[in-house]
Amino acid sequence: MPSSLSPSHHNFRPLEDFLPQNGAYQLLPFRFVRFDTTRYLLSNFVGEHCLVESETLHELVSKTLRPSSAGYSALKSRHFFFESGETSALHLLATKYRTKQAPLAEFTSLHMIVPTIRCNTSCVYCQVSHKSSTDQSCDMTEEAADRALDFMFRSPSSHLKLEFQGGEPLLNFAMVRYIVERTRQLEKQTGREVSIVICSNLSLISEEILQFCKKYHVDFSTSLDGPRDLHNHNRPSAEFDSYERTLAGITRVREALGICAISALMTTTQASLSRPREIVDEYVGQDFKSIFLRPINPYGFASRAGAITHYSTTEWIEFYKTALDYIIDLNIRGIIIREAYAALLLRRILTPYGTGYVDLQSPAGIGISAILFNHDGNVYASDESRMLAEMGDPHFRLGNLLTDSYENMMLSDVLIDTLTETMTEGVPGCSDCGFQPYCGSDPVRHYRLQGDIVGFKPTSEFCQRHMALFRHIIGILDGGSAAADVLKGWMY
Amino acid sequence: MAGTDFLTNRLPDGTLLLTLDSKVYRLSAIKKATYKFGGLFHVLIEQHDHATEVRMKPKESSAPIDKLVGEFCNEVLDQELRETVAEETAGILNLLLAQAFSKTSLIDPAMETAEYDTEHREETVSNE
Repeated sequence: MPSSLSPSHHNFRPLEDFLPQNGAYQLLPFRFVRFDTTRYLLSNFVGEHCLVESETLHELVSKTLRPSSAGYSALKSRHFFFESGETSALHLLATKYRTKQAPLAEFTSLHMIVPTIRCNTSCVYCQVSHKSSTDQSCDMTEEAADRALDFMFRSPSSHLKLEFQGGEPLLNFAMVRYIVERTRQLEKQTGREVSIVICSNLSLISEEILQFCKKYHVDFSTSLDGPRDLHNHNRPSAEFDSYERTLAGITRVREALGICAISALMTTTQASLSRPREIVDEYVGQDFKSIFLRPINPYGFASRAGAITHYSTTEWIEFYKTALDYIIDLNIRGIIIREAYAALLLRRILTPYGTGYVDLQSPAGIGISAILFNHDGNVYASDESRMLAEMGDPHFRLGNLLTDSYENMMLSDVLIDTLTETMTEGVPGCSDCGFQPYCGSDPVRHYRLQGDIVGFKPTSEFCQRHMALFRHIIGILDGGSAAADVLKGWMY
Repeated sequence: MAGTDFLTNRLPDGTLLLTLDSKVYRLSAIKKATYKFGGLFHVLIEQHDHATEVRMKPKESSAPIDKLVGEFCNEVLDQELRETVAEETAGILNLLLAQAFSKTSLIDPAMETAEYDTEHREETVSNE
């Protein structure tokens, strides 16, 4: 037995046999988009990406990219081409694509139930025609609730989630109680698990409600728009100080159910635009570890011409970038807080796994990721579809719990046609975009803003917003600095 | 004549007329590029024997024409490159999609069923 291998050891072919030859490679499918003035972003169909100079892209395609060049190894390892005789790249790509598409088989996970559209605040951006807090004509019936739960348990999803939306759901706590108790019974009968969240302004939190939520493992989600004056400006109430009530509710929920039992998100209004750091500081001050910086939805009061909530996409992007950069800086200084929108995008950019985020999926997430049961039994393909109906256009209404079957609603023309016609893999402006693997289809928003479910991408605010966010986040990742490390920590 | 190197003509009503060599630019690439500029221009495409004419009328009179036409020409080049990539990789893309959703291996069945030890033993024997 030799103590070391000699160069002439006959069991090994010479090193030169394993070195790549100039031009001896075959391209794999990929898309690209101009990233800045000199570089392109290349992405393949499983979402791996490379930022390269223009010259490198042209060399890659013309098969003149030399093995000794800077981009060769990166492009090869991320499967933009493969060398002769190699099949492992094809196996890996197919497996990653299967993983990426696996959530489709899960089908609908998020089921939203609106037990009432009564409300006790008058938010400037309210997307629903809310009713007064005493008008019980818009409360859900037990029959409709039973049908909604039957519907939910038909879903094959292994992660069922039930979310109470409003109005203010706690104004009809009797129905919330009924649905939660019934859900836990059905869990036992079917051997399945459902996570339950109440989206509430927390103004009606009581000891009775907290004890109930503790017993049945129910969490809360609330809105916190920023400092007191901004929050009360956006979410006024004639009955109480909205900010005070929300903070008091957050404290009570944390004390009774634990600090992780409540999350908060904010909605950007025109009044928010000049105060990105103050809003983030408010979340840090209230000990939240996550903030979701959301643009306003173009429905309901928020869409009125000249409404105080109106601003341009460009203004929101600048607001978002300022806030995100500030959050990253806080993290570098040891203050831990993540931005949820960026975290969603990072997961899409850096992993093959889905996010469940309805707005960024292809096929679109309406119906097949999330679905909404309104107080009157009407079933909508998404919360935004319900908002559109409240404005008088029930285009995305799938049917009614009291009169239509599960099959009729989930196989309705409006849902199937919308899903198939709007897949980003095949629509103009998206099919060849380098950001396609990370982006998604939002047919309800495009229908609302452009009168077409596919939308015209050159003037689409959805497209403008997400292209800007992808560029900003990928730019930070490419910088390789401490900021990039912060972002990478958010992707799971 | 407009003040840009890319133009061959500018019509009296403000319409820009670009003539693109059909040997260099595919019609599909030109169509995709014009779609991306559809928010800025009204576009009409005419195909002739050896060239494709693109008539672009700015939607706003204040648009920076020189800059936009330059960007349009770059976009046509990008789309032409995309066509080249798509053409070369169409077969592999179909194979990958089939492999991803198939219960059998379509790429290299032998590789997926082979035992490492068997291969190793055979190679060792052949080298002796």
